[in-house]
Amino acid sequence: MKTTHLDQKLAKVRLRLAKILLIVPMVVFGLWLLKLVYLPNVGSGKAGTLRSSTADGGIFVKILSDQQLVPRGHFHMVDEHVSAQETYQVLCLNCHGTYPHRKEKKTRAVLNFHGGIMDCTVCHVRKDPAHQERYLVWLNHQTGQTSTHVEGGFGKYPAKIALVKMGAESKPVLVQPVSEGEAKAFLKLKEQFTPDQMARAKIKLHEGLSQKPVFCTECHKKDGYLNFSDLGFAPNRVDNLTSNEIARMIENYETFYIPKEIDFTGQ
Amino acid sequence: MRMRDTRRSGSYAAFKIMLALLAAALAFPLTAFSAGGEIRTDTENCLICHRYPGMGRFDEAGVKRIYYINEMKFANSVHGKLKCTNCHVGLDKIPHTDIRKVDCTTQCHLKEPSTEREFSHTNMVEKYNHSVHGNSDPNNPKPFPEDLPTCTYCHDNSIRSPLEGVWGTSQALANETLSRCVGCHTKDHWAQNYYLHVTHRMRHLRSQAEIIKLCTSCHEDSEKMSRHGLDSIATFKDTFHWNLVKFKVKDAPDCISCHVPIGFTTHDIRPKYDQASSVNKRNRVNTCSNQGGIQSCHPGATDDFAGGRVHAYGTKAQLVVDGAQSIAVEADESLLSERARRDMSEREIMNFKILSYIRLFYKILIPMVIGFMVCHQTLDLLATLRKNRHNSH
Repeated sequence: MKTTHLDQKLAKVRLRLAKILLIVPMVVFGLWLLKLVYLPNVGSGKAGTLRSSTADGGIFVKILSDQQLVPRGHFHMVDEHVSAQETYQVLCLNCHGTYPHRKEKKTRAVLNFHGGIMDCTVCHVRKDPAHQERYLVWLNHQTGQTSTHVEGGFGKYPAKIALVKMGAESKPVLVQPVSEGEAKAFLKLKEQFTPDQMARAKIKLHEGLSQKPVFCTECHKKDGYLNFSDLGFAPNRVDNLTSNEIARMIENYETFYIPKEIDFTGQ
Repeated sequence: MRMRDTRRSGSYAAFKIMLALLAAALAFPLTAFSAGGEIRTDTENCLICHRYPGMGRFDEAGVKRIYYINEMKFANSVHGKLKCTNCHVGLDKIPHTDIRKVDCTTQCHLKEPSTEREFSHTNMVEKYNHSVHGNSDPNNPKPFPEDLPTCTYCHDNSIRSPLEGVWGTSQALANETLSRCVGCHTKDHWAQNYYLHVTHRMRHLRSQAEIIKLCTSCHEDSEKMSRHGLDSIATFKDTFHWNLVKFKVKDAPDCISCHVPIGFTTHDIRPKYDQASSVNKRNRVNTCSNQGGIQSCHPGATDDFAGGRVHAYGTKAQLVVDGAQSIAVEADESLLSERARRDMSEREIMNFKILSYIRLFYKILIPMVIGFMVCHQTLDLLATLRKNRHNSH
């Protein structure tokens, strides 16, 4: 008797399950069909709106939707060496991006390519005697590994020259213009600031920076600000970096006319 | 040598040192190009700065300008034989504030072998100017010229690579072929370049999906299209052709298949009412059959077949049938309305109406069927539950 009762219960459960199994795919199919009819991606007769997707939000929506690292219309095939996101990076990049120099026509592009070789803090936070614990080293911004050897060349390095200090467990940590906590607090509160409060906050954010950043010829000279030998450059490359003609041109000339009359190529 | 007296400091001696340093840099360029096996130098030494990946800036309009050149990619590109100043004409000072926009009609000092004249893309640009994408008629300028694509909108400096072939991988094919060529053509580098040029032209550089992505990057923008009296290309994505591309069917038709079949060129795409257009009624049978092409899509195409509609009905049909009120028009739709009245025949308007009624019929039928089905199943389930409960008592 008990077995029969159990069998009946099992049969009911099976029936219920079978019905649910029938209903669920049918409902899913129905929803898909409704979506197909009422919400097609595109469709004949669904002329819809002539308003572009950016009309409401304007240029800022367009900027947000633009995910291309290399803009359309850029002719030369390039890699995206600089734009790669890094795990260990200075906080400056969060607001200023990878092309932060914009004002000075003569130097902006040249300074920007240095952003692929070194952190902002190398030039914008000068080493000073009060901070003996700070030193320069190659830092792999993906792994956090430091090195005094140069790998790669001409801007294509797996690491960047970084200003670091010894942290806990004798592990070097990046010197930041502000602490990460302060930066996060700023980002959290910035919507609430009045214009004057924002101005004050920006001054505080940049307080750790040197008044005068390191200029080209301070490094690109013998016994300059950067010790290229200590950073692992080969002697011939050190010679090249310390007698760099571009840095001198930038220092000495507002405009340099490229000599055309001399045909060095013999063509 | 010109030198403007705008030096911050220093003297004539500094100038001489500067010139000597730059002269040395130019005389002994740092970077070597390797194109097709031959080592060539960056004779103008532009790479002294431009080989650094971070070289670039945001311009005053907020556009990202990348000034970096990957020397190996450039050397192996279709323009790898050219000097920078062949295209970047007028570049004579640093900073390059007076640089002219690259003009593809510039003669680039290569000899075009069939005419022995200096090569330029003038021929293509002239065709383009007279095409649907160009703006050549000064008496009838197109509205919103900024919407029209420039050369670099569609073209990049693509990398040359040998053709895959029946003899195996592209490199094996190149080796086998070149070993035959260099018997007579003793300059290896010349033979390699020639081979790469020819095989590059034999390849489809873009897949069907990439071509559609390129064309739709403009043609899917309904606001932009309406400014020029065109339907959005969204209508293509409601076709059988699109579904073939979407599901990656080999040789599926993309935009080029119909708008640039055999005998036509991409630079000379014409509007459909132009008799020189591949989609003009008089050319459609040839376009659908593509006789003489590698792929003959509809070899038995007749006038009736080719006269059928390919793109689905879009905004134009809706404007003619329902009026402008039916569409959330933000752009100026006057040109679109005018073109719609011109392009939509009585028969097409009738077809659109019939399709609209069929669509309406299904829009009512489907929710009713689904609604009844859901109700029926729910009631049936409830009945089963009630019955079970009743039996258990």
